[in-house]
Amino acid sequence: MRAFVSMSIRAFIILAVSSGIGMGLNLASSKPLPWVYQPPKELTLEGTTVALIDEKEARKRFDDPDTLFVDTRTREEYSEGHVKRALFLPAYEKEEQFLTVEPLLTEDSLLILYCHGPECEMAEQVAGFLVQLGYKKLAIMSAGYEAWRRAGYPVEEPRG
Amino acid sequence: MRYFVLIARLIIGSLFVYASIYKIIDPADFSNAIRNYLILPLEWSNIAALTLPWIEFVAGVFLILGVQTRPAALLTTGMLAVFLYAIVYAYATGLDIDCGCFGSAADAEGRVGILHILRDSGFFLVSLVIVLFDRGHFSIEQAVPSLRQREVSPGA
Repeated sequence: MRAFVSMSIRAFIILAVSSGIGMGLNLASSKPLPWVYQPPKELTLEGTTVALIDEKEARKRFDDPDTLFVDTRTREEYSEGHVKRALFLPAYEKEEQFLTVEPLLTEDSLLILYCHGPECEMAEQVAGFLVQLGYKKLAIMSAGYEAWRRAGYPVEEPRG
Repeated sequence: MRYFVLIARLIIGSLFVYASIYKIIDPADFSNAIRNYLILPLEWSNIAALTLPWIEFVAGVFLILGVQTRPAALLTTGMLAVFLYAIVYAYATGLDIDCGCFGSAADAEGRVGILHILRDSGFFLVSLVIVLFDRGHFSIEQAVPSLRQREVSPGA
């Protein structure tokens, strides 16, 4: 037991010193990373500002009839579960699928796009596509479907 | 057994040094990879990306040289357990993400999958062997006795 405690203490010292090296070098860097990551609040696509919102903000807008959720993931992912009432407009076949979705979109609609996680690019690709078509009221739920589902917010999933 | 432990040390040490290099060079990219796993709060991803690669690097070098071998192996074993948990979690929840294990060049590595789980399980066991069976053979501390700390014998 004493051997394990001794080994653990020495492991902790190695961990603390190594972490200190990493943080010290970050301080000395010409482009230091901020210690606390702050997600960007918006991005600009061809002159249009697209808000980047978290799942809580998206949930607040869920019951607004002028808000539509747009799932940009693959057909397989969408069929396994999606935000309740979300439209399906996947990044990889957006042109074809848009013909189906277009009648459901109005000028007043706020479109909240999402894919599976914070860093996936599919929602941004579809946002760029929609901006090119003239849609201006767009937001991206950056945390993605996984965060929405984990928060216990309304989803549609196949039974069983 | 001593040769087996030596080989284990060299494998795990080299692996950790290699894995740490890209993360040290590009912590912002590694921070992205951490966020993709959705395990840590997003706010913590930068601090993890700044510290974890250096722990990997130092532990890896210590294993190769035989400096504080068992504490270093305890760290690599703990880190491999965390990585394994993250990969199993990502796989089980169907996250379609890059492993981020060795670089954003992870494109070469592909998405997390069963092979990553098997690979990390193997590394975890090899690292655990060092913790359990290393007796200080083939180490700098053995070659230079003045570097050796007073060791408490295993099992004491």
